Amino acid sequence: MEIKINQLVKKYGQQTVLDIPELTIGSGELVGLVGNNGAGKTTLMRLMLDLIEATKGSIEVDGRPVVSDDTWKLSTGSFIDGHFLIDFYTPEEYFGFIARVYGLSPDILNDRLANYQSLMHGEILGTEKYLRQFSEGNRQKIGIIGAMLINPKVLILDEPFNYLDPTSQITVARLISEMNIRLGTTVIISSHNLNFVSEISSRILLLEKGHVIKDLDNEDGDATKELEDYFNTAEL
Amino acid sequence: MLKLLLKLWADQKRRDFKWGRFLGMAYFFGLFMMVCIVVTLAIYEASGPQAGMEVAVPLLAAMLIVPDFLHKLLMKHDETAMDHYLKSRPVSERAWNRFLLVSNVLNFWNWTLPLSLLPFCILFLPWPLVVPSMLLLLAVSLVGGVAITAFRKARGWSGVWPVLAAMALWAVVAGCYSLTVFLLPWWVHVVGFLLLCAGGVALFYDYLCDIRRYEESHEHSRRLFRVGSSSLFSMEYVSVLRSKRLRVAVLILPLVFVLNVYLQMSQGQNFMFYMMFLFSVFAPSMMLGQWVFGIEGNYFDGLWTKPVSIRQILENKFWFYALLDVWPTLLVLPVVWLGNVSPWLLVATWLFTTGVGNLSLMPTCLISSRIELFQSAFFNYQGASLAVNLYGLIIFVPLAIYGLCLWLLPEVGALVALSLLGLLGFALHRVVIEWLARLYEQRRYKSFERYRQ
Repeated sequence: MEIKINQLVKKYGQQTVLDIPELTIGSGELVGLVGNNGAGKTTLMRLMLDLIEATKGSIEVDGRPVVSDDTWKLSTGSFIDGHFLIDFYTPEEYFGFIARVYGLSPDILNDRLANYQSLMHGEILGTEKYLRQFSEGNRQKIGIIGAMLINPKVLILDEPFNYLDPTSQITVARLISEMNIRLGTTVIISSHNLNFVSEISSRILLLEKGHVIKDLDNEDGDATKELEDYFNTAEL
Repeated sequence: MLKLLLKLWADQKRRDFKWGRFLGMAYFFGLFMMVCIVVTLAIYEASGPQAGMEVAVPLLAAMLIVPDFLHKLLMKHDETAMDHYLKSRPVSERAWNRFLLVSNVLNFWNWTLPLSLLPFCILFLPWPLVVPSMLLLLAVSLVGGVAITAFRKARGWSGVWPVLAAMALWAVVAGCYSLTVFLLPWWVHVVGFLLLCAGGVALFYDYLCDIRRYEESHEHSRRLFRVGSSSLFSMEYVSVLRSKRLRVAVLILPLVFVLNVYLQMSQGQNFMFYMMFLFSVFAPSMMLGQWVFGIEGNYFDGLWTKPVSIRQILENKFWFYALLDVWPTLLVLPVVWLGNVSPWLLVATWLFTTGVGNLSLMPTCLISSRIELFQSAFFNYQGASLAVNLYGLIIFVPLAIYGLCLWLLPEVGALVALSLLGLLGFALHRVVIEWLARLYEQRRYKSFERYRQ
């Protein structure tokens, strides 16, 4: 699915936090959003998910504006933060709820959950705990699995590697990459972890103070050098 | 250190201060004080100034120990254990416990008992006795307040039972001692009572100091309430059953009104009986419906990005509230036989409550904030705002319609009218909800912003 951004501006009071004149994310692209704190990565994702109001401009998914046409919800999986989780549910109930909303049968749900066993590491299903009782790392995993469970055509994840142990970070990166290749899912992830982003992304958008200052092709990992120069990490 | 803790506490209170919330609370407390003053004046006019009324003060203080404790159990929620920020700094347990004691003296809920009896003291007592009387009432309230702090700090039944047992013992001892007001000179009695209160505070404070508690946010649940399936509708009742705050509001508070129905029943079917009847049936949905979407506000980002319609959620709520009102209806069912009440009153009240009352609650979805599901008190005003408090007045409209119908019309006519209004509400609920859902979607960003605060 193609995502098209047109004259998008988001202001809080007089302060412009995002200003993207034009941007198109092609179907099947895996786009990494990078930038320092306050660059506008999460704001852009929230606008894509119609969670905040754009001051100006529009976002279209397959030609349909996200603000007025809900069809994008049927094929979009997303996880931004804890406000996506239903804290009084157990993981089983939470995944069951998602399956029900998207019309997945219990068999399909179980099959799909089996694909994420390596990420769950035996610490999520069958633990008899409510979501609010899990550690931040496990909550992050539950949110990511919840977003990927529906085999979405568009996947939007904000800081998916946060709170995760190194093994889980590698697993998440692998799962995202696999979904992109296997299902042709359009993926947008934001992260401060440059290694993972440059490893799996086919395209990297570098944001600074609400502007896309670099749009880097990364099919062969070409963007790594430029990112290192920008963030000045090469000599660290 | 105590000074530092108090400064921190004051800073926190100042920063969390919201005029809307303050005015809302001031409004309701003002109403409560008006009732206290009116009742006191009525008694004063009926009996006139009488000598020797000062003996009533210790008797009242002793009589109010248990109601005051129960009232604080619902309303008073103060700090009990150090948070991680303080725990990891050189703050001694002793300093913290002293802070708990001092903050109790400053706590609003410990002042409600003396303040509500202030009109009585001013009107009925000689001036020199007003201050010691207020002191006595405050001291009695403080014993309950410190007991509540110990109750909250304790974990598990083994920690809580000693507080309850000591509270029961305190009520008996204070009750017995209050009778000595007839034997001892008033001043001697009051000084003795104050000393007794000091002993009570010391007892609970000593216990409070013995409790070691750590803020562990990742506690395992001991009991897991299972649901058959996780649907949009089951989300309604699962959230209520798993959140203590909502559980207390929906399952326990209606019992107070149900009890009143049975108490009023003995005096025949008067206006008060009918109103208590309505309140008991309406109570669960009225409690929850103050903040439609207050629960969902905790995860609305997740809901909005999924193919879930606002109309469907609102419709689920309408039917869930209707079901919720069935259980107090069943509790008051025996009055049909015990109080010779028409079974149609039951049916008409339920129909009216669900068709008209619950539908009138739905617009709170436009102004409600997120309510913290795992706070233990329902009445801690988190999630409330001036708009919600003002909209709360709308609830009086269905109450007034119900009251007027039963007051002005003959009983059969009133029951028919209430049933028809209820059925009309049922017939129109889809249209109203559809309109509300559209309105909500138009204003959704403001609501989302409120939920994130």
